Amino acid sequence: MVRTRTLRDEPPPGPVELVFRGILGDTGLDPADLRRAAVLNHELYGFYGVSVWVADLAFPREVLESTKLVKFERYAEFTVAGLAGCGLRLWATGQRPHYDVVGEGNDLESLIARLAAAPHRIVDNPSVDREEH
Amino acid sequence: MIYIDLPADLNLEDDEGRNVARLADAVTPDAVTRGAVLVAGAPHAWSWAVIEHVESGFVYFRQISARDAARRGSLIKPFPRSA
Repeated sequence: MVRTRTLRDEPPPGPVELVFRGILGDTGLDPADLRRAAVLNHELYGFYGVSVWVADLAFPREVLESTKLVKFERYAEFTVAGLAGCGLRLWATGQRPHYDVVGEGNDLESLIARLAAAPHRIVDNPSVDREEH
Repeated sequence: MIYIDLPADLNLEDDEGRNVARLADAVTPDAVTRGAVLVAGAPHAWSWAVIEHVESGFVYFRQISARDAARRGSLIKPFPRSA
């Protein structure tokens, strides 16, 4: 059963805003991880989307590093303009500052290829919480 | 090496701010019930978690600290037979 995904009614983030996604594996931004994320989102909400966090004045990088990204050793950093330049859009889904990166035509392979190729850098998270098991 | 009970992408949050995973991806799906404490995530991004809701093949959970997890029960458990 596909669930309804709430879209927040707010202005879109500006082109220079930073977009972060926690890295799941140890090889950087892995297309296989992105594909799994997009497919799960489709199963849940009926569209291919990849979860990211967008920084702003209320959620600057340092806050996101110690909250939404705190379990990630590394994360990928994009810009809104960089994603837009690859034909990708940001949907304001869930609770701020969560967004979904989506592509044109709800096409899975296009979304993954464009996101993996979008300009980004990998950043070590200085606030990572390495709890003992 | 961390032992992951419930593979999940901790970037994904639902409209209530909970993380979501597939029940079928759990190592022991029968153990994934409301209130259960387990390890969710990926080898390089994992958290202790408490299960809040299980519905239609999806698991909704919230991340908790190790201290909170210990308060809720033992952090030591036997390895699954497949390990």
